[in-house]
Formats: sequence, C-alpha cells, structure tokens
Amino acid sequence: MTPTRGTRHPPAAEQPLLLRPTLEFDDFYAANVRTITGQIFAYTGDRAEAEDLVAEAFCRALARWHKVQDYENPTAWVRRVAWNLATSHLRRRTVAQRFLKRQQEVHEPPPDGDRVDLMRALAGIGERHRKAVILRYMAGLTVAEIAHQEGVPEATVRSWLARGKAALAGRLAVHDEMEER
Amino acid sequence: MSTPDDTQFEAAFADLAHAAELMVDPVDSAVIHGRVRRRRTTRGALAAGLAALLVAAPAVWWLQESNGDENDPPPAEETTATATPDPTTADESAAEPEGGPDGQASEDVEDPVLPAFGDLVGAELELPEFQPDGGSLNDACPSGPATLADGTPEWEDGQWYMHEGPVWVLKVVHTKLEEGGPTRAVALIGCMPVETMVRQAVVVAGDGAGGWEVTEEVALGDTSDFPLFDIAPAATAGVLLMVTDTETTGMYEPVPVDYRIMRYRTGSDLEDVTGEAYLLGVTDIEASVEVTEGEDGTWRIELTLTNAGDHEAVGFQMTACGSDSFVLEEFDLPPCTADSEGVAVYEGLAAGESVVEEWTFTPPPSQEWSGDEDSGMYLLGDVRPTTYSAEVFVYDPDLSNNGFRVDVTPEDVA
Repeated sequence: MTPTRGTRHPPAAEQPLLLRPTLEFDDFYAANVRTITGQIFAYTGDRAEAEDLVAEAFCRALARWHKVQDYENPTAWVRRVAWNLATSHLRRRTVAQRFLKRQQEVHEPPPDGDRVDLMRALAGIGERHRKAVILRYMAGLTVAEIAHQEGVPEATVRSWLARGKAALAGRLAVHDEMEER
Repeated sequence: MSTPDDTQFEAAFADLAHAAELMVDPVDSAVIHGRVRRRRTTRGALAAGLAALLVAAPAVWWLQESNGDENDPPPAEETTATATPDPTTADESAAEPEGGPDGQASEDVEDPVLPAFGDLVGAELELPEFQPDGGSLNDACPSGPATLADGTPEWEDGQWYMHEGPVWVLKVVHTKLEEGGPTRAVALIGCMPVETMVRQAVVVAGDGAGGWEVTEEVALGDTSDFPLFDIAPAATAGVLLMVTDTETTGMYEPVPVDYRIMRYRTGSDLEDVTGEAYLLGVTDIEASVEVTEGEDGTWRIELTLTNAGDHEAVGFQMTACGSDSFVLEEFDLPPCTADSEGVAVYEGLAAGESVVEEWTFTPPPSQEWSGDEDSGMYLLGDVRPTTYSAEVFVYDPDLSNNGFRVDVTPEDVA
C-alpha cells in the first residue's frame, strides 16, 4: 500500500533550513514512540523486543524522512512498519527460541492488577485476532483503518475482532473462575 | 461469560495502553539518528560484507542440524571478529542500550533495505512470468506487476494452504547467496489459478525509492516437472529449494509425497543437496485416538499426536469437527456442517515425542440424535504442519496418518 500524499509543507522561508527536518522528526518521534511501543509490547509480550522493533521502524522512517514526512499520516506509516516487523519477528521467534537456546530469555513483568489478566489473555489468542483487538482498542483504529493497514477486507477485520473478543472473554472468564476457587 | 461490550473493552485497553506506555523505555531520538547515519556511512562493500556476516551468523547457528557440506562451524568464531566498534561512531554507540550477547545480529550494521515478510504484503513487484513464453497461466497470475497478498493460512479458519486468489507472498528468508557475499532476501511467491499452486523464488531488495524490486530470479516452479514447494536458508551460503515429487496442497494424500532439496547460489547451477541438507522441520506427525467408556456414562477420548519422524516438528495445527450431538466438555467442537475451523496450534515437538489431548463427552440417548446421525455420531479431525511459518522447511511428507475419527453408533449407547 502506498501512503497518500498530504498537505504541502510551509514555504521554505518559514523553515530553518537544514535543521527543520531533524526537528520535525524528533517531534514526531517523541509524540509517537511510546504509544506505538506500548502497542507492540502488548502484541509481543516482550518489552525489550518491542522497543527494538519500534526503534527499527523509526530508523526506517528517518532514512526516508524526506518522503515520509509528506505522507498524509506518517504515524500510520511507522505503525505499519512496526507491526510488520513484529509480525515477521513473531513468526520466526518460536523456532529461533526453541533451537537457539543461546540466551536466557528475560520476560519483563507484566503490568499490575487486572492488566495482568488482559496481557495473559492477549498472549493466548491467535496472532491476527490479537493484532486486530490491539489496533482497535489500544491504537483506536477503525475497522476500515485496520483493513487498510493489513491489506484485507473489512469483513475479515470484523471477523478477527469478533473472534478475538470472544476468545479474550473466554480466557478472562477462566482466570476469574480460577481466582474464585 | 458473555463477550464484554465495546465500552468495557475500550476501558480495559485504555488502562492497559496507559500502563504499557509508562513501562516502555524507548531510546532517545539521537540514537535513531546515530543508527541511520552509521548505516548510510557503512553501506560500502566492506561494510556490506560485515553486515552479511553478522546477520547471517545467528541464522546459521540454529541450522546446525545438518551434516556434510551443509554443516557450519559455531558462529562465535565468525562473529567475535566483527565486534570491534567503529571508531567513527564510538560516541553514538555509547548512547545506545546494552547490546545482546556475542553473535547477536547488531541493528547498527543490519542492512535496512532487506524486506521482511510484512514489507512485501501489499507491495507491487515486477515478477518473472509464472509461465514462460506467455502461457495462459499468466492471465490468472499477473506478474507485471503483481500486488502481493499475505499468503499465511489462517489456522483459526482451518486453512493450511492458500486458496485460489491473488498472487501470494508465502515466505521471505534472509541468506547469503554466495560465499562472502551480502545477505539477501529471497521471497517465495505463489499463485493458485485452479487447484494447484505454482510458485517462484526471487531475490527482492529496496528499489531506492521506498519500494521493492526483484533483483534476481532464483527458481520458477511448475506443477509437473519442478513443483517448487518451500525455501529455506542454506547453512553456509545459498538458498535451499524444496521440490516435491508432485504438487501438494496439504489435502489428504494416500501415499507419502517425497521431495528433493536443491541449493541455489548466485552464478552456479542448481545443486541437489538432498543427502546433505539439514532437515529440521521435515518430519512425520501421526495422530491416533483411543476411546474409553466410563462407568458414569461419560466417554474419554485420548488423542495422541506423535512426531514419528526423525526431526523436530516446528509447528502444526489441528482442525476438528463433530456431528450435531457430539458435544465435548473441554471446548466447543465446530459442527462438520459448517466451514472448517482450527481448534489448536502446536509450536513444536521433538522427534519421538508426543502430545496428548484428553476430551470428555457424554453421548445423549440415540433417540435425541439429529437426522444426519442415523448411522452414528462422529468426530473428525486432521493435523497439518504450519507451512511457511518459519525460516526452515515446515513439511510433513506423509499425510496419510494425520487424520483421526471417533464414531459412536446407536448400539454403543443402547
């Protein structure tokens, strides 16, 4: 998918030449990095991994910043790159972890309280369902925006969301029952 | 428990989002600037060689279930030599977080123009024609350009192969294609105009304008003479091609479908390395089921999934369905009259090991069975490898022993 071009930049006279792009990227980075990293963290369940993946996504954005900054929604571009990297990484991680065994995996403690259950429940549902639910409820994307990002029909996204929510509800119910015993 | 409404989900996830944002500790933007600067300055030939070594070494290590020509030395020897910091970037390196253990790929020298799988989903690529010389296959499988769709089967929907449809990107592996050469991205692309899929493998790289382009043709499969099925990085250099004896789509096969493994290296002829290549992920999953009737009227189903092959199973998935009255206590068994649904996915199983599923059900009196259960209640299931889910081959040559079935006749419950 090619991001659409957006509004024109201010006239050159308004921009401090040379410094302006750097400042823009830094502002853009500061405004988005925590939000996107939080979403990828919820998706992968590994904080350090999420930080690395999102850093890589921002590196790619900076390398193409002269183009990305002109996109209508640079945040959507970086978010998509980060999610693509995370998806690709998750697909290979299982195999790599099983066979490498060269380092002790360090799991960050999950958030406290009820969020523990939600993180656990998220980890237990299908990859696509998890992605759809996080994009919808953590990133606040609409069904159409998720469909655009993932390159699938909106009906598919609605199906993922319905299944994901049902799976989450089931897993949260199991946790509730276990705690009540 | 009923599914919470949107408001409840929004509240719970807003809380989680807030907590997650506070927990993460992203690097300073100066580090991002430093990394990009270094990548630009180390894009020369020497740096590309080093990058290839660093990126390739970890992948090589976990491909050590190989022998002969495909066997590699431990990666430490290769990687320690590259750990010397670049003196021109020492100040920037200091601002970065602690790196991984020796031998880990370093982001600082990773070639940023190699596409990952997700990068190619939705991308437009000028591909070689799926059928040379302008055959009719090309009408159904556009190649100039093709817009690539995500070819990952939805295990939740019981898919284990892609259906007819667009041109799929099935897999992307990163590997060196020649000794000492740079790391390259090789993509497996498939198109299924009718009932069989034709696949091709191509090298893809950044086109310099934010897009992707094919820079090298690796192999073009066809459904008869060269049924290219899968790709994997070679342990030393090159990409391995799994070519099956006949085209396979994961449907029931009464006899094993054998394969050969060819190695492609840039500038060399394809080499048959079936006898030497590592076979991690190529194995035989076997399903068997045992039913015991309890005194209290409950029945116990014990399903055993065994890795009966010689190598580790990377991953496999299970579908199951039942007739109307076949109700399991453990989970909602999808009805066989509806679309197929996956019920479980497994991440790996060592050779010789088994995983056992235990399910319980209580057959209702036969007079309560539905009309299509006149001859009995039934449960059906199948197990298949999660094809293309890992960089290694993921293949089960013998699908004849992957199904399971439980039948309950009216006499059984009389």
